Amino acid sequence: MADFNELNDPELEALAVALRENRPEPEADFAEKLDTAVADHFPKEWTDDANPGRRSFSDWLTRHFGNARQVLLPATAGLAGILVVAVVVGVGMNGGGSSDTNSDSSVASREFSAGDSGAVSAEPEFEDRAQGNESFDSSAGGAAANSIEKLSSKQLDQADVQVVPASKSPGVYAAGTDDRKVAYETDITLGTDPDNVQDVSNDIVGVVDDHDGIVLDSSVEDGPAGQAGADFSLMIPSAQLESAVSDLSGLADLRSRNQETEDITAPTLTVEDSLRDSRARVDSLVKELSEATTDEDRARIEDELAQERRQAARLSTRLNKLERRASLTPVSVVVETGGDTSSDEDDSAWGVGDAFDDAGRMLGVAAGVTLIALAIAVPIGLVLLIALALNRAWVRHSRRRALEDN
Amino acid sequence: MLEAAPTDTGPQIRNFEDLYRQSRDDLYSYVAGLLRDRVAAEDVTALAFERAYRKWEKFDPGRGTARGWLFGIARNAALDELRKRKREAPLTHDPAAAESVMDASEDLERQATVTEALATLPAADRELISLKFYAGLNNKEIAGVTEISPTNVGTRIHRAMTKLRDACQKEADHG
Repeated sequence: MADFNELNDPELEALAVALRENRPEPEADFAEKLDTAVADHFPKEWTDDANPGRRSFSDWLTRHFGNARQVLLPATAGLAGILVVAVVVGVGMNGGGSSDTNSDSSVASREFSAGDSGAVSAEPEFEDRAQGNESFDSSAGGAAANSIEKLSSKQLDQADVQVVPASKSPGVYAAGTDDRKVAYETDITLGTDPDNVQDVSNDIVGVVDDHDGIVLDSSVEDGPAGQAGADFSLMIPSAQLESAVSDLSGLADLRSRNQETEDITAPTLTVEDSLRDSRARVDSLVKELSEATTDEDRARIEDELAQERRQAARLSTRLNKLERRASLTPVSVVVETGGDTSSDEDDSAWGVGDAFDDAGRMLGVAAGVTLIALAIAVPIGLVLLIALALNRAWVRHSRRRALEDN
Repeated sequence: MLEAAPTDTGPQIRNFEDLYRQSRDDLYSYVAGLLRDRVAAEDVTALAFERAYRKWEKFDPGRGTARGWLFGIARNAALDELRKRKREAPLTHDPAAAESVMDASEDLERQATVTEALATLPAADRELISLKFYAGLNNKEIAGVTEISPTNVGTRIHRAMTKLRDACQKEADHG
């Protein structure tokens, strides 16, 4: 209760008493109606009838949703959370969960398409060679071009499907030059069970025979997985290299294939020219020798002739080697056991490692989606907060003005 | 529902019903003194109680008394009413409304003079006088409601009462 004595003025204190004694009191009807409304906890009928014109949007929210801030904020946050989770799951289902085959095939495709001088792009090259239409892009010529693909047989199957159209394109081989000399070198690694090593080895020899190749060296070792295996050094006619490699790759699980190519046109031509010159020189010396008149001249010419013939022999040997490199391709085949077993059963098995991979992918997607959602939500939230703060400040200001102006 | 709302003044307020019983007439008096319109005062009083009822669970006793909180709600509603009047049709002085509020005091000349004089005061002074002498809030509660410092509240009430006394003197001289 107010203390009127604090006014320290008898006249003001008397005025205060008069104010208090004559303060406005509510009408009996209104007091009774309000009592009833409070007793009934402000029923809907009361809310609908009582001073609707003075109700705010906040009143409507409070009436329909309880305490708006306490209910709507968690509800909005919950809804936003559900939306984010839904998006994450949706993206995960499309790009994450089933991404096994998609991502794998895309990787395989990338590897093959990037490896122009590798296994895939080597196929059109082999085709061209088989048709006697050898050509080699100068950008890839000269230096050796390497491409190593570590592939499962499943991946290779997928890759082979994509290779077919690629083989119809020119690739690195431009049409035109027919006299190109290209040397190849191929390493193949196959995987199989220890029990199958001997069979696979026999099949390798069979493939070599079928393609008129040569087994330069071979060794087969029995034993448990990891120890058992076989090594083969083969020479395959380059004209049949494509089909031979294809046959060899199909004998077991292909674990890797390394294809190297080297354009030896320039050294071949150089050696050919040198050999031609050397032989011409030999012929010249022979003629010179027949026309020599003194013993001293004959001795000198015979000495030169011997040197030139040795030079021609060396050049001939070099040319033979180059031509052999172009016509015969060394192929190294290694048969492994243990380690990366890529049987169909293992391919289809889904283990703990895959679960971790999937979980990592999902978390990555979730983090990305959350980041995007935050990037959208934070500015919107900030704008809303600023708008709310401005509105609040404006309402306070206008209330103060209303008090001052009345 | 609506339990435990301690207050540092007056009887213990345990629930909304306690708050309502202890504040109904005081709140109406304050709003009527501020608005000088019986119908509007009834509407705003009812609206304030309804809002307080709906937000009762949100009330934090640590931030002030339940009465102070209730009067803050009523003040906002009353000021919104004043804003609305300002937008629609500015109300300068409404003797009829003041008379309707003060019907009971018509038989006393001095009381009528006080009523008339009060109506001539600015709304801010009228509000302080209403809170202090109609509603019976102490300075601390008034400070909480009006967001004025407690020491300043005393000074401004004294100044408003002095103005009222002068206005009463003028009314008496004119009468």
